Amino acid sequence: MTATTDGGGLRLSGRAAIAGIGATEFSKDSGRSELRLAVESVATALAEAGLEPGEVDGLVTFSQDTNPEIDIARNLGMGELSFFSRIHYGGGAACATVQQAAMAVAVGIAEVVVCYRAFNERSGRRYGQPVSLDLMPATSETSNFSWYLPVGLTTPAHWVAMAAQRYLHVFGATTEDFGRIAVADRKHAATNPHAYFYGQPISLEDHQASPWIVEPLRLLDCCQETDGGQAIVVTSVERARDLRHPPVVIRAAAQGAGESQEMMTGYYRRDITGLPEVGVVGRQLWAQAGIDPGDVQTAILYDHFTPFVLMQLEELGFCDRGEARHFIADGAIELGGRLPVNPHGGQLGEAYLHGMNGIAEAARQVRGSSVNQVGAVEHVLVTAGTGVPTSGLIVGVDR
Amino acid sequence: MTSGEGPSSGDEAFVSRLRSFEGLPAGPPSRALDPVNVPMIRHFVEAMGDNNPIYLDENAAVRFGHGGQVAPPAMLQVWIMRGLGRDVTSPPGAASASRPRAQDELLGLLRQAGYSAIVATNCEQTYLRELRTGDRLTAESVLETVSDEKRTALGPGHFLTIGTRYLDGAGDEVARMKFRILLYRPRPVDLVAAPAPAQASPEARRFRPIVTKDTAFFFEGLQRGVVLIQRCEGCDSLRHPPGPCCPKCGSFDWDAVAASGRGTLHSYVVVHRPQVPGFVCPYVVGLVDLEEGTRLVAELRGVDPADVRIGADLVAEVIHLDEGLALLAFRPAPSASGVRPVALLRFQDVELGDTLPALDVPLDRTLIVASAIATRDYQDVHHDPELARRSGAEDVFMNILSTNGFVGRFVTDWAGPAAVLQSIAIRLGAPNYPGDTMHLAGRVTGLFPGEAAAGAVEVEVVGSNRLGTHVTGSVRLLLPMGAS
Repeated sequence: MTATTDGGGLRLSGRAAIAGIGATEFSKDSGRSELRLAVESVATALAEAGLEPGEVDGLVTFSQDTNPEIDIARNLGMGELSFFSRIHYGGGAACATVQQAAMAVAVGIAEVVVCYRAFNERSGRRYGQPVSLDLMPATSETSNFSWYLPVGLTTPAHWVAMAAQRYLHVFGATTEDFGRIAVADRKHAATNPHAYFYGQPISLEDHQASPWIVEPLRLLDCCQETDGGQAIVVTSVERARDLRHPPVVIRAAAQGAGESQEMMTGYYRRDITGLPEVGVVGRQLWAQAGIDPGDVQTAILYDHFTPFVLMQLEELGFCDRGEARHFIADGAIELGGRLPVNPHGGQLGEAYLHGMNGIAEAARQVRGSSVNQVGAVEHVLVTAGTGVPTSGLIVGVDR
Repeated sequence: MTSGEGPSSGDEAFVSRLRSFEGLPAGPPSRALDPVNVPMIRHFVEAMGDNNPIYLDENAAVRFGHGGQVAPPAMLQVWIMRGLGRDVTSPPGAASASRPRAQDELLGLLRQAGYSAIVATNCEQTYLRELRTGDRLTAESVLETVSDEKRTALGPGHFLTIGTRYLDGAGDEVARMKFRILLYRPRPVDLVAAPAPAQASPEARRFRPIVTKDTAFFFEGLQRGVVLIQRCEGCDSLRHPPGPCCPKCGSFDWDAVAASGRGTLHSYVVVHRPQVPGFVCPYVVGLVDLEEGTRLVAELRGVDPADVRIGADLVAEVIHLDEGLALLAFRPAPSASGVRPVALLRFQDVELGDTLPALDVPLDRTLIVASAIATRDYQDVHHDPELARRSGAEDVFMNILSTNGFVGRFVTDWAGPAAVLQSIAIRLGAPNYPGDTMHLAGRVTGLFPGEAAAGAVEVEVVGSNRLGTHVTGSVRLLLPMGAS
């Protein structure tokens, strides 16, 4: 079945908006519990929106998050909730949390929904370290790891590198093309005081000199591990108009899983040089928002590993298959270029908040308040974790 | 030394009893049951993977200066082996149609004293001329020396050295051999059966698979050394990774078929970080297109990370890491057609210190057993895992005649079909078990120009496996001096 929904009879586009964003500092050792990071970021986002905790009736997070919705509600004295939901598949959940919130708001199940993600992903459980199967029950999900961990593919970088190598082989790209993504991210982070790598740009030579993690990926192709929390407040466009900031209208929101979808190891499709699940999301986003790639002024592309940024540009229609290396040449994705990508610095430069910090940057770009503002922005596209069942958003100005 | 610490008078008496056999004929001369013949040569070269044309192609053998088809020199001992009809405690090479009495008596004595297990450790063969079909050999063996009790990795034991002369039908000597065997007391079975931490492969620390009812068949197949692919019984389509239902026709009925083990490389990675239990960085992991059409992920072995190429032809190999863990790996296929190009090496092409192209021999159970049978060696330790374990081994292991054959092949692969082997002397170390790989490396250590037509070359050979050094040896061969 091909997913081509445009929101159907009950339109989602233009019904809900981001009204508040809030984050903790991004660090390597927060010194606090993951729950506290979650509660702090939700409280900050609500205050930024000008809402009280008691006005929240919905909460959404990732199934990978360790902080239950009721713990957030209890700690902040939110009282009753009418909607709570968690999305699976790692970072692929990011934009889907906002989609769930928007749908709840659009159908009237909830009025104010907060999406959040918080973890000590550097000082606690590090996603860059090998997955451990110890004590895991034998399920379909855990047994899938058995095709990879025992033969030596044990981390997300390892899984992504397999597709990246084939991409280089088929399209004649080089690891310098991967490097240009990292250079752009770090250039943007260098002028973002909230970024972990604030003031620390890198050159292509720095990228090429950085050590191999798993060929063809070098250290500087891999995102950071971060301690922190990020929250996003979603409410109706009408309600948002009465709040502190201009509404960041959700023009499109979609999830996507491709044919023969796997979790990070989509190796069994005939062609492994693309991200079909991103294509599924992209088709829905353009249809819902009624725009095309030329109408987007900046894109927040999930960048846990650089090669998948190239593939996303192709799957989303910014360029043809195999052409991303030409699309990004000559600083096209840097500030001032044709399509600035990740003006906050992305997850390589700002922080790895499982994609949620990118949604916050999209909101700032629409408001015109980013430290790296991309001129007058009408639409921003945001993607979520790639190589997994994923999601995306197009947010835009109120009109 | 105070009294009570030295060997007991009983021990001394036993050793001197053993020593009384030194110098005696092992038994009456052993006459080969069959003359040198093509079928047995074919079994042997198939098992060794030896494609030197001079063994099976009369025209090639003439063209390369051998005057006609010849037998692989390393088969020398095979012609005298009695095969299945012999007492399993007799050492290979000393058997005959009529029982060699002195040798049997000596082995009986040792067996009664508890030295019930036997393993060959050294074999030095000198070839005085090439053997041809129709040659019928007779072997005359002498019990040369019996050692004191020695401590060995297998257990305490005595080494027995047997010297043999091989005569042709005319009574002319055609080859000589010194063969050393160890008769030892095997360690208790339960000590061997339990995985000994000191001997356990570090690779056994790898993540172990989580197995469900949908995937168990695959891992059970690997335990048996087979790569299985799930097949839908409804529409016959193959699928991997496995699942309970066919995505093409919806059938829940399935069985599994064995893959050929041949595939090509679809993609790969070279892992540098992090260190993962049971792996040494950098290591290579490949995404392999099986020739049956399914795709899977496996470690790539026997490759330099810098030389890996997408599209490379690969062959599967099952690695048995410990009792419960067998994993799939691939290594480069020997060459596109499985046939190496024939290179003609001349004496003047060789320099001291030259290294031979390395040869990796993947060891599976079939190879261990097939090569034992092709050398007519029916010792239980080479085909029966249970009896092998009772002898203190981990599993069945390669017999010395086969190692000898692989060393011969390794050198002639390099030297080409014009070479004439003059001698092969090998000493065995760590056993070749199924699931391992024997890596043969060699170096030119001596050049002897000799007469106008040919010069002699001495090559040092080392074969290693995951346990360490399997074989060290020295091979001497003649190469033509031919004009450029």
